[in-house]
Amino acid sequence: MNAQRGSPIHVAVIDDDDGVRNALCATFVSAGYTVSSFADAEGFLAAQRGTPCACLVSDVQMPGMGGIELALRMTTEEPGLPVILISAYANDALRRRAVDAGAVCLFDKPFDSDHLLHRVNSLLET
Amino acid sequence: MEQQLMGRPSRIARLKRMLSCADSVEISTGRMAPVRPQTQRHRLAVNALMVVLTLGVFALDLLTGFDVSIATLYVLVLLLAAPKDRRTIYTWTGLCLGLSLNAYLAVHAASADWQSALRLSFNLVAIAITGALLVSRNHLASTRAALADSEAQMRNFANSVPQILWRSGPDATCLFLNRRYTEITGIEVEEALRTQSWGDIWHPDEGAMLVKLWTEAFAEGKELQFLGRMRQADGSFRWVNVVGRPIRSSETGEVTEWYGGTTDVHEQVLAQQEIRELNRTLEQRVMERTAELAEAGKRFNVMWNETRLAFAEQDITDARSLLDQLHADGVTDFAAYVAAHPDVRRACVAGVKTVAVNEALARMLGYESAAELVGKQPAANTERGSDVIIAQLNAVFEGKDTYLGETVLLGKDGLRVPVAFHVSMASKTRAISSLLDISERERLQELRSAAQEELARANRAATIGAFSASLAHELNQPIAAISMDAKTARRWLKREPPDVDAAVTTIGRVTANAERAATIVRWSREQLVRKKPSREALNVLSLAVETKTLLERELRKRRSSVFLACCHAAPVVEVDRVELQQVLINLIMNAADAMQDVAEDRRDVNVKMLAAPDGMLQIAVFDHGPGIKDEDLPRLFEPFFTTKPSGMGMGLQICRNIVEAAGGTISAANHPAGGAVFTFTLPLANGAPGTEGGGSSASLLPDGGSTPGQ
Repeated sequence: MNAQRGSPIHVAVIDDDDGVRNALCATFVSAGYTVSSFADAEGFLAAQRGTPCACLVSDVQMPGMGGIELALRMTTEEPGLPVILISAYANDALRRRAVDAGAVCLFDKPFDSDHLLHRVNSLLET
Repeated sequence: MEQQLMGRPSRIARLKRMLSCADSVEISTGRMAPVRPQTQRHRLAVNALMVVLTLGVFALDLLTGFDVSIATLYVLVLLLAAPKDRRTIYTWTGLCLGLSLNAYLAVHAASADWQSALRLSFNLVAIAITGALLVSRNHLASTRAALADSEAQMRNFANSVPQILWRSGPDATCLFLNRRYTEITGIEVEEALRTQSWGDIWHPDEGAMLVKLWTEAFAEGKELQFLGRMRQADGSFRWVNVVGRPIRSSETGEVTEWYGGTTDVHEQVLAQQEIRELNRTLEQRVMERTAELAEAGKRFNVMWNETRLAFAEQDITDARSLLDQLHADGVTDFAAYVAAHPDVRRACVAGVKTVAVNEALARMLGYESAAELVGKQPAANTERGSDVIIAQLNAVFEGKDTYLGETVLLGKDGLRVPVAFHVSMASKTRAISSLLDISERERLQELRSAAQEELARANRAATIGAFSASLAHELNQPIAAISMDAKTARRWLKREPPDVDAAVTTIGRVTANAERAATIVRWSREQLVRKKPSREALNVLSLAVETKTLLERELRKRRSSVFLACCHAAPVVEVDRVELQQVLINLIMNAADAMQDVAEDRRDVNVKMLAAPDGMLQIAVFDHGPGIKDEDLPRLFEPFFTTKPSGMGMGLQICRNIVEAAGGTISAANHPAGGAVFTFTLPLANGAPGTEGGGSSASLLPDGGSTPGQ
């Protein structure tokens, strides 16, 4: 929507649930972002080297490395990369852990995708 | 002596005679049996002599003509011949008188003068007197003979009676003892009479006392009687009874003599002593037994009247005779018989009568006292009383001594008291019933079932809570996708120009995710939205897999994992799905809870299914926790028993209810390798194959495996 500034901004999406992953991709694509999506954190980490992204949106509960662990890793490996976590079981404890791990915010599933886009936009503008 | 013979001899006189004669110890029998041929010869000689003498006197009197009284010689004839028998004497006397008269007439018929007539008269008188004297003498002789016989008899009698007989003078000097004295004591009678020493013949313990008694009796002239032990010839002592009686002079009233006897009563005394001893022992025993009985009776009364347990005693004599009659008639099924014969049934019921009740029973039924209650008959005091009595009689009919049951007693003013009773036959016709008020128990039972229901509901709600957490997660995914895709589609369509294709593709995904959500909801409804418990053929393994999924979050919180193993090809049972799931949830969560203090990598819950005997499926849930304390084992399945700090103690109780209602059993034990194992069984559904040999396919589903809906 408001991302049409020269080259498209690249967003990485990680979710093990096909439906959610596809919907996230379509959300960002429809808003003018380019998206690379992964079913797990390990796939993302492997691809990260070649295609650096401006923002990472990841599920928390995933087989293998979870979202919290990934966020923690990104704060050391990619300190400037904003990480947004989403979860189907959000609660205060998880939210705190997410923030502690360096995530920007935690969205509860289901969430308003307009809010997500708005948040990503505002993150990338600053 | 003759004087006494003339008079009427008194008893005492005869006794005296007897005892004097008995001094002589020889026993003569010759007089009593005279030799007959001698007597006859003697009589012939006497008769011949008399004939000769008589004829001689007659001839002399007739022929000589001496003027003297020749006829006087007839007296000589009579005296010389001295016939022994009275008739002979009369005959000869008559003959002599006749001959004398005859000779006088022959000689003096012509020259009778008063002088010769006077001589004749004297002669005749002399002859007659001689005859009379002879008769008297003979009479005297025969009386003497009879007396001698009697004396001999008395002597024999005195010597042959088994008693010692004695006679004493008034000064206690013994004058006579019979021969038995010597036979018994070994002391010669003459010696005893000479020494007059009596102290030694008695037992040393009694001798002095007996002599004193004896002396006193004599001094007072009282009849004497005592028992004492008399020394026998062989030195032993035998009990004898001594009696003595004083004889008083009829004129002066003074004691003249003493007569007495001593009878051996040894055997009787010993028998008496024995009987006395037996009596004493018997009395002692009776006393002891009476005391015991009194004590027992007291205890019984205390128990009967002061116990808080209620008792009643029934007399079933009349009913018993009816039962006996039925037995005799070959009836084997009492219940069926009385059902078919209402009159017999009524008679049987009427044949059971309450004869006693205790205070506790009266109080239980709201009566003031036992007396107020005892008159009421059992059938009227009990709800469906006649049925209860018939059931009780049926037990009696079948020869049982006890009968247990529960019923409701009807008390005063419509009071209803539920009781458990125990009837035991105290005898063939007496039954003692003890009755326990179970209204409190029933009330608790009601409370408990209410609590159970409540907890079952809570448990179900908790199950649903756990379930809904999983369900929320499952539904959140498609809903999140739909939400995003809907907005995405709108964005595609709001573009200038609208990207319809992209929107259509996106809406296609919305549809797919909506379908997915619907599937989840449908599945959930299948899981949760159930009607009443309903039996259905259910694969326990599938349900266990679902349950495992359901519990995933709770287990993850406890860092615990569930492993399922099935050693049965078709673990299909007919139970209510939600109920069985409750059992599984309970056991699995208990297992997980039990392992909170063990290392994380050991917190495995193993659930194994395998075939058990009798067409049952066995499901065992193992943990690696500390196990169950031995003292807790028997109480685990009781309501409100818990070892958890916040537990309510209903879980296992509910499990047991469910399993038992489904026809299975549940038990708990400690595993030899450590940890607890809860095992329950369920009947395999009919026709389920592979209960035996085919049940070898095993599947082991590790925690974190794929679960439905993901």
